[in-house]
Amino acid sequence: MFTAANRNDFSFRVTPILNQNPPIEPNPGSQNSSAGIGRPLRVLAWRAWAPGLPDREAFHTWLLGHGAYEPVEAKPPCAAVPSRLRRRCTYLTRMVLETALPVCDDAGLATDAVNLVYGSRNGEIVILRDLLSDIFDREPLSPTAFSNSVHHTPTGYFGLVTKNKGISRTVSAHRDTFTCAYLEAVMLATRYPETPVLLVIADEQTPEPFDRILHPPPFPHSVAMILAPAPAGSGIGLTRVRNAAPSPEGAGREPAAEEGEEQVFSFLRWYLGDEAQLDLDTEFGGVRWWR
Amino acid sequence: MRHYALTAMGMVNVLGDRLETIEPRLFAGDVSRLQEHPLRTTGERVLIGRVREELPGFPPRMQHYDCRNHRLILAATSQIAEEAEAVVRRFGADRVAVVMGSSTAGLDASEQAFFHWREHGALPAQFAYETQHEMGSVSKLVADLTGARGPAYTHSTACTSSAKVFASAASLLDMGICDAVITGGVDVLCSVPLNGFEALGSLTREHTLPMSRHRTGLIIGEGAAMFVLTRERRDGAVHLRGIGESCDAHHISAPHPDGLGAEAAMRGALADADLAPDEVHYLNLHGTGTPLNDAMEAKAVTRVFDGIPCSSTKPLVGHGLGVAGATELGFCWLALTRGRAGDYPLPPHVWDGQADEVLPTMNLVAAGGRLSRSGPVRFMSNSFAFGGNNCSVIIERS
Repeated sequence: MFTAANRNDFSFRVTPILNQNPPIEPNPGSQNSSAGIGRPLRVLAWRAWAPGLPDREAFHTWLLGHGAYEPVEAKPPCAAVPSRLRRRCTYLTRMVLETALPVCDDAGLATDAVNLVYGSRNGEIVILRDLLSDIFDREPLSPTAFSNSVHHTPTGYFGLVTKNKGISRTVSAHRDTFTCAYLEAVMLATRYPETPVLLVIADEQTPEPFDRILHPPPFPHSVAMILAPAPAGSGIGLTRVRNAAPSPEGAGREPAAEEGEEQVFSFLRWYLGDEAQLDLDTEFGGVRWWR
Repeated sequence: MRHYALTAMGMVNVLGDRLETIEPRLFAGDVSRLQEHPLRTTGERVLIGRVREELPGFPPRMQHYDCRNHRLILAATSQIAEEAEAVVRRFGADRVAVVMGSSTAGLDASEQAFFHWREHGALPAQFAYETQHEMGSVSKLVADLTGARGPAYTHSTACTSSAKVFASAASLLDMGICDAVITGGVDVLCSVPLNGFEALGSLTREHTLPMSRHRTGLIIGEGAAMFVLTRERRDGAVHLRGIGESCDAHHISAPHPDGLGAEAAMRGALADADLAPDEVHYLNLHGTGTPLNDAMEAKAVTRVFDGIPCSSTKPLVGHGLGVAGATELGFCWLALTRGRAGDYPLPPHVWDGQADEVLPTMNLVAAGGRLSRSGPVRFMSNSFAFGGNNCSVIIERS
């Protein structure tokens, strides 16, 4: 029982967290209850960008190398964005557009023919920090900077550049941001199977003095992928599993995500490899991707 | 056809910290609780909708969450605690998801911490960015408070944040990922939105007057609104029926002048619920009181609906930004729930009565306005945001 500190007119009973073993009960309302959540998807294309990892091939090499990341200064060129808009774009927005625009081309899709799910933990924290600095100094704020400070700023610019008028959602869930955003993408692709989903995950590092957080993003990055329902009998499935401790052999947990790694990096490495399944632990239990 | 029961609702905003005090002020059109507030960047004084009651504090084990934004969550979530606990017990904790919407999250904590850092060169000891300000902390807190152990995440699309949560919540239920969703929104008054909307020239110096020829802008409020949503149909309960989402793809902070995106969102919600326009009986407008929003919304609404009773409740509570969607749908829920025997109170449109003659005529709800109707009654709520992001939600009482 927990009671609020300075009022006693309500309370919550703390509910025991489920702690028992194997798979979670089948989903009674699911359209594909025995096989997982929603429809299996296929990745039609993917792109990634980080400072020093300027294209998919460089990012792929870095992913496979499991190596350390060498910080460098670089700005996404965003050559496909008209210069009048590019000048107004935040760094985070440029990272998103640098992956989100070409990945549609890679998949052979018009940029206005997708629904969008954007996952970001910290959003425009760099812009917010600058606004706080101006406010502290009692300086009037820049209207453009304020318009650019909302969490979903990159999705607004994506709409402006592409004229995409479809569904656009954002997801934030601490270190589970990728998993929850992927879940949202599965739901959209299942509900609207004729419209592929553009899933973009992007984050900057939090600026001083907000840089002392427990699990900061390792470096600025943007990963975009196009997801669409897979033909019957193929594709990538997603299932919730209990995150029980792994067996001594590690059965069912191959390849384990690297400790503390961004979930989207673990997913990409798995997708590009040939293991049958990927298990990740989340705040809401285990999740398993399988093919 | 979807009928998901909204089995409980709790809220806190400038009208009060419980439904018993909010309800009479809502239907009376009480604007007396708004306060003047000086802006730090310009020194101008504007009205704000700040919660006047003392907010509950966190127990010792949850101090890492403590900030005003999260106290608003605590105040609203406490009102649905019984129902939240019931669905967790009934379905199992891992079958209950949390989907929240916010634009600020605990930005108030980061503001205080930043100012402290600038003044003293160090962050305050109690500051915890990850559990106070980071967007995901909003849903994490609600999961911790209620014991829900299903997927938990936060939407942040500015002023549509806590409207779009109903789309995700419905999908989670549609796909059988969970059996209940604890959902809603929160936003806290703090310096960035206040001074930011001032920079955009969007803040009025007086009471906001949506749809008036004298409208000069919006006022900002704060609050939290929480719901429990289950995949079942209950006699006499209010149900979620439809959601429509669209994007303008027009401007980063201004709406499309003809409201094409707004119209698409309203028509999308009607299609999702499989309803004709005349089967919806009241519309809670986005109605910010800015010249651009109201002009485009009036055009869009009158293209979709023929004389539907409508009102903006932002003159009463201010624009809640990230909590506006959940607050205004909560007002619809209150009206539907409080109705008896085919007679429903409607939130009044509080303004100067001076219609803008260049806009299409709207059927704005007068003081004391009521809806008399037998059979199913359906209300829609509109939310529009930066980035041209639009969302409309329909709920029904059978």
